Amino acid sequence: MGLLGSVGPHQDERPRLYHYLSDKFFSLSLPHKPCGTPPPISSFQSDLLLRGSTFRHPNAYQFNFKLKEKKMSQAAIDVPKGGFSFDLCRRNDMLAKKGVQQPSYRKTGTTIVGLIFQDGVILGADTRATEGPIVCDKNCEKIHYMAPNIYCCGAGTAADTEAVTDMVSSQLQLHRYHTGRESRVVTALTLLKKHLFSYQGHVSAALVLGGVDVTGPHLHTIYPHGSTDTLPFATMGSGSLAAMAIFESKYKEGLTRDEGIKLVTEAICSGIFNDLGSGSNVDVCVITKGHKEYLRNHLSPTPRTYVSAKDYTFSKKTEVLLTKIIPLTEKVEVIEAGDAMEE
Amino acid sequence: MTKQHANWSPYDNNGGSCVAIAGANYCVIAADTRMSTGYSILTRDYSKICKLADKAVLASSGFQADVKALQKHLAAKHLIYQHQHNKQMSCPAMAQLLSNTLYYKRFFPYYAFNVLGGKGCVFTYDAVGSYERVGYSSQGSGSTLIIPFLDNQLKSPSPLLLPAVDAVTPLSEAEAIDLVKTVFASATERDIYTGDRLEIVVLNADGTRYEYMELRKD
Repeated sequence: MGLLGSVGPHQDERPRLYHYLSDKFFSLSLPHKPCGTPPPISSFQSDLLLRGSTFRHPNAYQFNFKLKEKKMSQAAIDVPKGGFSFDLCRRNDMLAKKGVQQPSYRKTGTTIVGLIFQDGVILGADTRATEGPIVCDKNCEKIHYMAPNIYCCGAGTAADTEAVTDMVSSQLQLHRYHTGRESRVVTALTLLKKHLFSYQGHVSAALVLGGVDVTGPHLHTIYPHGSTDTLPFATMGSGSLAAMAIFESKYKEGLTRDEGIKLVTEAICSGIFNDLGSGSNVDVCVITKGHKEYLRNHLSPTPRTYVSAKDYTFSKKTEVLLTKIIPLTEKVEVIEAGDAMEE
Repeated sequence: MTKQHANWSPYDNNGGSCVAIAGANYCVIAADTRMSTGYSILTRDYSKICKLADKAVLASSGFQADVKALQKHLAAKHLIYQHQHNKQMSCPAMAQLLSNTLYYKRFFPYYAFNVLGGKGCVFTYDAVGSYERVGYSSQGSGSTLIIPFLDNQLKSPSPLLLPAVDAVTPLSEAEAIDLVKTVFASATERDIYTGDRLEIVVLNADGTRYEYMELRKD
């Protein structure tokens, strides 16, 4: 394989792993395959997905084999047409060895929760995004849209949760166009876990997936490595212990809508107050059969405690540096070039 | 013999912010009362402010175990000073004592970031005893948010000016307290380690006064 071949035996193991992964991803879940193999999910395959069995495309091995052959016969530089680009991994490894600090990701220390109540599913999230000890967004949205009847709360690296939910939500939309049916929660679950597993935990998204479909209400948690749980109530993120303490002491089966919202709000508040990575407001999303309600900023339990009566102003003196504008180049006069356009 | 784990560290960071502002005849020393580690709050009501002498109040953030040890050490030294000299230590004397105490542990430092306030003066420190007399200062986890705001509001004269200009702020005592409340309310919005409650100590001709204000608890 072109890219693998250029990595000598003395090289670090990590780039190999990445390239392997990128090929793996390529062969398993590339939506537009170059070798003319069918699209990833046809309606008969979706049945397999729904049953939660391990789905493998019948042509996957053959496809992978063809790809290898094709790559070997080509020049050393062969850019894959799908998946992520790992081109800079070796350079970054080298820089890291020379002591260059890698930039940090925006990790949303988070409290996200979900529970099943008598008519459906309720999801909840706080709205704080942090970069180390600094709050970088005081009112972000952590409950992501997946399908009209499915929503997903995300914790972990903000970019990953956003990207992974967007990718899967578009795959679900295409699948709905293809089948003409409402998306099922297990379909979203399978797509998410397959993606996360193929990246072996490097896509750091911890998710709470909830929705109501033809088979009833469903709630799942998905870990960054791709393992999943099916639960009546679930919590994730750095505030998961604080929130779970509330759920474990107060959850019961057959909660009403109002009781459910109250319990979710209380669990998120527990995260907001007891976990430093979580804060600001409570978002809630209630999904029932054929209906959903996104309650953005359902509760704001932490108002600012002091506003000075005095205005703080910036002195105007410091703003104006120079009033005269000196152009860097002489102005160029544009001369009309006749009526070339009129022909 | 078992090997010591290579990554073990004797230090922790318990967070928190401290501010001191000096005027001509007063000094405001303030700190939040949150103590935390990692993403957890250990307590919402732990005072970072220690009154060492009648005219010397110390506010410290960093590692609370080191801060506590430092405060005990300074209190003991101050007691000996009182026995020997039959008077309270002045603020500049306490400032030099604190610097010496910190530098004594140059290669195993107290993980403490201090501001010392006395009437008409503020002293600000690093962890190994470098210190400077200033008109206002901030230390701790929220200091990077607080100092630019104070700089903007209280432009202090350069310490290099000749003849030396006193760095005390032109604000009244009430204005300084208002400013301190504002900077803490703002720092609490953006620093996860600052919050819960603000403790303000005001030193003036009448003596010492304590004030408290609630901060966000998330």
